[in-house]
Amino acid sequence: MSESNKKISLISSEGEAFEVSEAVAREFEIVAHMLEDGCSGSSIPITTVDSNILGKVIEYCTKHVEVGNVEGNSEKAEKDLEEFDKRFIAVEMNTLFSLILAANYLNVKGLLNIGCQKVADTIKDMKPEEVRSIFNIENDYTPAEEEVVRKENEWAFQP
Amino acid sequence: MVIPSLPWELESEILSRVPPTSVKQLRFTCKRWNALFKDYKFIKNHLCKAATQMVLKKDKSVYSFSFDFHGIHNRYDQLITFTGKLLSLKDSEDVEIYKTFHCEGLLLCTTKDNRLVVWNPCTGQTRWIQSRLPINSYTEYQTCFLGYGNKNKSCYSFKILRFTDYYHQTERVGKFEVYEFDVRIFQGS
Repeated sequence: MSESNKKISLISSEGEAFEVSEAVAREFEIVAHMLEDGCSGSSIPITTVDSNILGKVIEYCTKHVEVGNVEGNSEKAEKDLEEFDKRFIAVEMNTLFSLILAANYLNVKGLLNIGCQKVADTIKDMKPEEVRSIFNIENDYTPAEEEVVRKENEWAFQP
Repeated sequence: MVIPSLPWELESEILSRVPPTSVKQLRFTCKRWNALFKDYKFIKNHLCKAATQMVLKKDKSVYSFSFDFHGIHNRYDQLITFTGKLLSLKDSEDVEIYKTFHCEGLLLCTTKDNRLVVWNPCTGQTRWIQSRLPINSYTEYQTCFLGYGNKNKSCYSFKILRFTDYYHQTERVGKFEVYEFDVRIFQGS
């Protein structure tokens, strides 16, 4: 079997196996390092990521490997990939956060990038209360402290 | 469905991608975020990811624009987005800006009534500079410069040099003044 056809099983936290080509598995930098370190086993446990999210991350990496392999016509391919990314990341907040956590753990830089950008775009016009509920943050300002911060910000650009 | 919590470094990664104009609102989320927005390292990181912003003064107002250099644009209006106008959030009326000077991302504005204010367009923080000119003086002409010197690696000491030509009790006076402020208040360290 040639190097590029080699299959690797990624095992989710529930113990479910996902069989992927080595090229796709290498998109997970953490897996790429394991393979380079001579971790030759054909199944790799990804204990912190559940099946649902692992499936999605694999879908993302598979698409990016596919497009990366096509030669020529690069402008159209790039546009398609951009469209794919946009659709891929249009998910519920909890899924988005899980994808970011997984991309960070598995070290899939492209996915981490678009995930973080998506959250940033979502929260940029939100009120503090909404942002707090998304990030599970408690308001630790007293009204007086809030006033001090407000004073520091007497001016702002208003659309 | 419960949204999983993100570790601090991911939270900070996300916040480095919000446009600078959102920072003024997001700082009210919690004290930790407010502190982050003042952190010097964060600001450096922020500036290289956020869209390029430009400030423009027209008539008596200051406007902000953002530039998108990614992608191909045939017309300038596809490249430039108008993002806002500088307003005083406290007073109901607009502050009339007379002249602007800038240095290291800070903007020094002189107002129509000869007051000085330093403003950080990224965070929206402002600081009015207490004038030492005598009250009841009439200003004929004034001009300013904003500059800085390094105190140490993480701290800038900004200085304002102002020349004012004014009348005080029928006497005409020319006066140079230097005002100094610590940058930690604006940008953190």
